[in-house]
Amino acid sequence: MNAFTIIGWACGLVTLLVSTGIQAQEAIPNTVSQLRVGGSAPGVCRIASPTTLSSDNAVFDTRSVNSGQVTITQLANPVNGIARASQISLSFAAVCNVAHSMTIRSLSGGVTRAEGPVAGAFSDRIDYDVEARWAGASVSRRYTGASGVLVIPVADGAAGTLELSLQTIGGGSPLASGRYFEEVIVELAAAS
Amino acid sequence: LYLEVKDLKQLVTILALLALAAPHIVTAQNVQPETVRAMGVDASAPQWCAVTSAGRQPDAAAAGRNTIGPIGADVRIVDLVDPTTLSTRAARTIVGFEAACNYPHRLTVRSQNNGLRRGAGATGQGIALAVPYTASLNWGELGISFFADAQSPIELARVGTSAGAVAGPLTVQVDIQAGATNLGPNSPLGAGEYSDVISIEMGPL
Repeated sequence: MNAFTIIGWACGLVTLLVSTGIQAQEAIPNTVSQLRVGGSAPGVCRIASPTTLSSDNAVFDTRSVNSGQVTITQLANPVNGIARASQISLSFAAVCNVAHSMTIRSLSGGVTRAEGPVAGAFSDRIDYDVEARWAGASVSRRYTGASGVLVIPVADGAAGTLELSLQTIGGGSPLASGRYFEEVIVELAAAS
Repeated sequence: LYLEVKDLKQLVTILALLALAAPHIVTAQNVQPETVRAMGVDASAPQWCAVTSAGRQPDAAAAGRNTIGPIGADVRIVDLVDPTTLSTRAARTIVGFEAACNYPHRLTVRSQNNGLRRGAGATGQGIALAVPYTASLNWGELGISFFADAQSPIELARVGTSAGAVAGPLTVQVDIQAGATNLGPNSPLGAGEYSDVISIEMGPL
């Protein structure tokens, strides 16, 4: 492009014409530089401590970042010892930014007498219903003595409210005295 | 010119010498020392622009600014996600180029994705998939800035013109605000790789 071309020699005059002058009508190429900016978001799931949406004969207390306790205010009728119904609905702010599953686990399959089973006319377990709603889906189950899990698989990420409702069943035989206990685990886990 | 010739032999000798000298005598008579020759030179420099590879510019406001690089032409955000909110963490980078353009020119800045956009992967309700940012370019007297709002995956372009030749540093600053996403403030970002390509183009007006 920068070569010189001699096109004439006459009468002692040298004429030099720059070749780029001849090619001035050619398109001047644009100069392009690029800068790529990027970052990575890891797959994460989070559940915050819940708030109580509604309750009857039960209260929720936060125990730690990852745990809380539902206390049934009056487990049995003080007159006849028969289990009283209770209900509580909890709302968890939750997020999972990747495909995942929500799992509800019952460890005992019922609100069960901590000191162990009893024989005879008294009951040592309170059955209860669980219902969970997350990412537009819901699952439910009644626990009647067998532990088990409830699962909502989610193909995408989700952010919003996870609702968990627990309802103990009243009635039946009078309860044996003692402390009754159940552990329910709510888990969001990224799909492997 | 006067020569005295005494005999024929001498005459022949003189004639022979004159014959040998004749071309030179003729040439000598044609020399004109006062002759001037004009030599016109007509040339033009080609129009060109050049940009060197990118380099990090110092950012006195805060060390690091949550970015590393550029490595080659890549700037990497160290932590794109705030571990507490799972939304965008603030980041900034200032990248400098040495550049020159020897004619009045147009400068075009393009964002390929209109934000840092995630590639393949699941989306989901309430999950953001793009990160807005502000880019500011300074080149001589020229300043161009744009806000890539991340609302749609379209190419964004801004154009400026320079009335003359410019040589010196060209800087590009990218600012990402905390919690900025395509869904609104503090939405969680979906897992994956996010990126955008900012192109700087110099060319004729």
